[in-house]
Amino acid sequence: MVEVKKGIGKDGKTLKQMLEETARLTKETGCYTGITELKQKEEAPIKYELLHSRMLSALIAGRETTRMIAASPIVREVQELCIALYTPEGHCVATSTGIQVHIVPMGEVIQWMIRNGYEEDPGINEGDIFTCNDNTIAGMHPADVYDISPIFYEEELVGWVVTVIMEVDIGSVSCAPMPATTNVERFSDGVFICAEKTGTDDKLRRDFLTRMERTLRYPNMFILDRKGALAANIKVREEVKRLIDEFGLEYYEQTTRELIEDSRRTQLYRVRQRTVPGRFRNPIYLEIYLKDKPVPAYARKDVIRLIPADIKIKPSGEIEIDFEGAGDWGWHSLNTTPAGMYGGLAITLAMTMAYDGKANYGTLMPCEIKCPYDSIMKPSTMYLPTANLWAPVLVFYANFLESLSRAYYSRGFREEIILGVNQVSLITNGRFQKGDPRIPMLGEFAPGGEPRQMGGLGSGARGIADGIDLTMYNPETDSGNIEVWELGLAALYIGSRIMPDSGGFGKYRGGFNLCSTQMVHKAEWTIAETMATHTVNRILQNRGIFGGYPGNVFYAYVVRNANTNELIEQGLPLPRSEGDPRNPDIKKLVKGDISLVKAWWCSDEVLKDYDLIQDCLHSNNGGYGDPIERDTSLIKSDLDLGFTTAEACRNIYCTQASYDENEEEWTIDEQRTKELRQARKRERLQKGVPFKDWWQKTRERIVKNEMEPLLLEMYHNSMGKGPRFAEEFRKFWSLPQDFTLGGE
Amino acid sequence: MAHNKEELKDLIDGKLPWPKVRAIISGPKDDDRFDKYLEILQERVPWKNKILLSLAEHLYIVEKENERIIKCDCGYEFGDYRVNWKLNARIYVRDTEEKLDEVFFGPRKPDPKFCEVREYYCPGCGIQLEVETLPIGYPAVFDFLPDIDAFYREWLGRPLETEKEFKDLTYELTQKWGQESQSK
Repeated sequence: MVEVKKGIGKDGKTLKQMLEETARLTKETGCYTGITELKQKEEAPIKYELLHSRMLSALIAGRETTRMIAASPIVREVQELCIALYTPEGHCVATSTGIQVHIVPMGEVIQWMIRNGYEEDPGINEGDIFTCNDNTIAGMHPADVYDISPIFYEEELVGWVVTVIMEVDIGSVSCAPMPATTNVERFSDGVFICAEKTGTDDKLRRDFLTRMERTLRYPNMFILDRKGALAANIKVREEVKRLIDEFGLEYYEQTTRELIEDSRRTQLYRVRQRTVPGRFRNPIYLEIYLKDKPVPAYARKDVIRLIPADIKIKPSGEIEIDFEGAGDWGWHSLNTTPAGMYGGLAITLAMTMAYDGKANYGTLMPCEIKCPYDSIMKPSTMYLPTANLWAPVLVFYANFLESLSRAYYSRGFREEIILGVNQVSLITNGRFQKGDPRIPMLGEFAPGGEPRQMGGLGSGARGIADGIDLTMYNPETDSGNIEVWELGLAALYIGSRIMPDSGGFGKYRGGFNLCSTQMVHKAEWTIAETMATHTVNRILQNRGIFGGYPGNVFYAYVVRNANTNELIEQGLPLPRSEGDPRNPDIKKLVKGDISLVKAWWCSDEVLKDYDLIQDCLHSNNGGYGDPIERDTSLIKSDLDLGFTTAEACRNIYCTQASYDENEEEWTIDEQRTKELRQARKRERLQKGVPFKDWWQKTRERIVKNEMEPLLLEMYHNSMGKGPRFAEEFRKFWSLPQDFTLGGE
Repeated sequence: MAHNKEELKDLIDGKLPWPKVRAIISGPKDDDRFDKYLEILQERVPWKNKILLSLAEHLYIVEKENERIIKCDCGYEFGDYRVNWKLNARIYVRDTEEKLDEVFFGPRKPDPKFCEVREYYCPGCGIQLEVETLPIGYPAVFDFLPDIDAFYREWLGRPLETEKEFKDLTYELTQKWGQESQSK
């Protein structure tokens, strides 16, 4: 008789059987793994909450443990990490604070391992550690590395704990963890660790560490990160075992699943309680400029890709996001994946709607994202770079926040309204001079660069107040100590200041952004590139709500052959902030070859000591409401702090203000302001035309294909990607059924 | 948890002190918010039509006879709520360097060869209702088409007397404009 090998799951089942059974039961009942009643919660709610709180505490303690072990400022200070607990099937039960975008892809990696027979080979045992950063399995970008540990209790696999950490370097051809313009195919992404068993018996394998030591630019930080993750995983694993000892295995297994079903129900309830059903729209566009970049010939072209987005809040409370009409994928690093899009939804909901600490897999169950196959949202090849698959994710979810905000507004929950942001900066890549005692390092961040810039962007406006200055989607993040960053940079920071008027104008303005200036210092050489995570160059994303303007386009100044040394020797002022954007300080104070650069720039010559980089971190963050309705006390406050200019005060906010030099403050002429605002309304009625007149003129341009070839190609491409966009475009402009833009 | 109307008025006006706002954000949501919100808004508008939904700053979906129309608080009526109201607004397009520079200073602006900034004004009062930044040629975005009947029937549990089909009627208007253009 042939002995059938027992699985490592519940009652001797294999994990694959458990995964299939869970999917079947969920499909049959509409409830997670067939749980139609929340028995544990109803029978003993305190006990139920206690188990969840204990799990959450263990996860947060695990996260803090990692921070104490790691050396990287990204972990210690910027806090780009997260740790989560999973069911045996890879469904998230609870998550620590941090980069919760990963709760979906981390689970997908577990499921990939299960589906690919890891239970048989390479085997899953107590004390094993699996590592993954391959985004064609699942993930957000290769620098985010997952360390996955199984949790066994009496020889049964009862769950998984996973820690994600963002690395300072992952060995990609382009520098730093957020690769820039020149990653155009998979093999430029850096080191791939493809759900590899990297440790046994709670110890990382020596051969794995050797490979990393010889493959990465900064192996020490990577290895300490792995040790930090392993320590966190062990801490959580052992606490889970203690919880099972205390609560019982059956209770633990039932309750962890109930927590998922509970979150599914709560998400549906929240949507029905806080929003209004209906259809929301806001397209995004990705600009990709590689025609003149140092990339292989097949990638050397400029394209713009349109991604129409149709968001539905259904009467059931379910959310459906449909990207039909999304343009083609291409040989660049801005293609994304469905797992990435679900990850974006996870963090968006966890931060803005499901912020009670219970966001998990269940929160996402009532949400469906439709990414068309063979498009930029779901490419049909795995040989693309995944370095910036974040790009469509962040751009879209910034717009998604606006759509949600419209629903909150209609329902009366104005305090929940907040608009999203983009993210662009420069990355530098340099090498210390010979003889410098510090580690010769390639790949680091420019001033305000990712992830320092996490603390450098202003949020979009809120529904009851201005946007938050210098923040980001991860509310715990700060920029880290500049002195720590400078340890690894062949550069010195010479200034970081808020840029006046850098949030979108509105009744409530966007939060302010940072201008950060850096001087190359003790470098053998340095080069710089823009990070390609976001691509706003020529076209601003459609931000701003109810009459508020969008925020601004990102740019930076780069000065080669700068005379900074002379300025320092003579004690003359340095350009520590931008000043007037039309006549910036850097042009007034510094002599040298000054370039104004925007997204998709990379330096064609090296920068040397005393050269300057000034990053103007505009985040395209929108304002809320008509600017001429802005409360004058808010305008006065911004004027007094130097955060808005007299020009914006007069021309945008239609506010009469004068500066009292004795009191050193601004005063507002309220009566004159009223008159100016009334006059602006009259002026609008004169200069604005009936929409129909504009529609007729624009239609003629469309019929004649009168627009930039890149735009024609963009529309032509999207009109060939499913019927909806093409049909609606033709109907809106009343065009024949066979009309296409840019066609023959 | 219910909040009193005065507190909600201050919240809507951005006048509620931050500690109270924070407590509201952190606390359980008030189930009676929508009704109190509509009461406050209804008291503030100078006309009598019943507000069914607050669509945007200054814009409301209201009942008018047997129709549901979008109405500005100044009284201007934009027509059926299922037609993108922007088609009945006045529009001003920033499509040159000079026009863009008034709002986006120096290098902060998009490229007018690729992108235009469309400002939508209420024809009745001149308030700026929405701003769009889009690639040239992109249709006016229909930001939000609410499913009002499902909302009242299934979420609030009090269906409206006459139901309207949940359908985007924008294209019926643009098709009509197209036919008018051809017949000229």
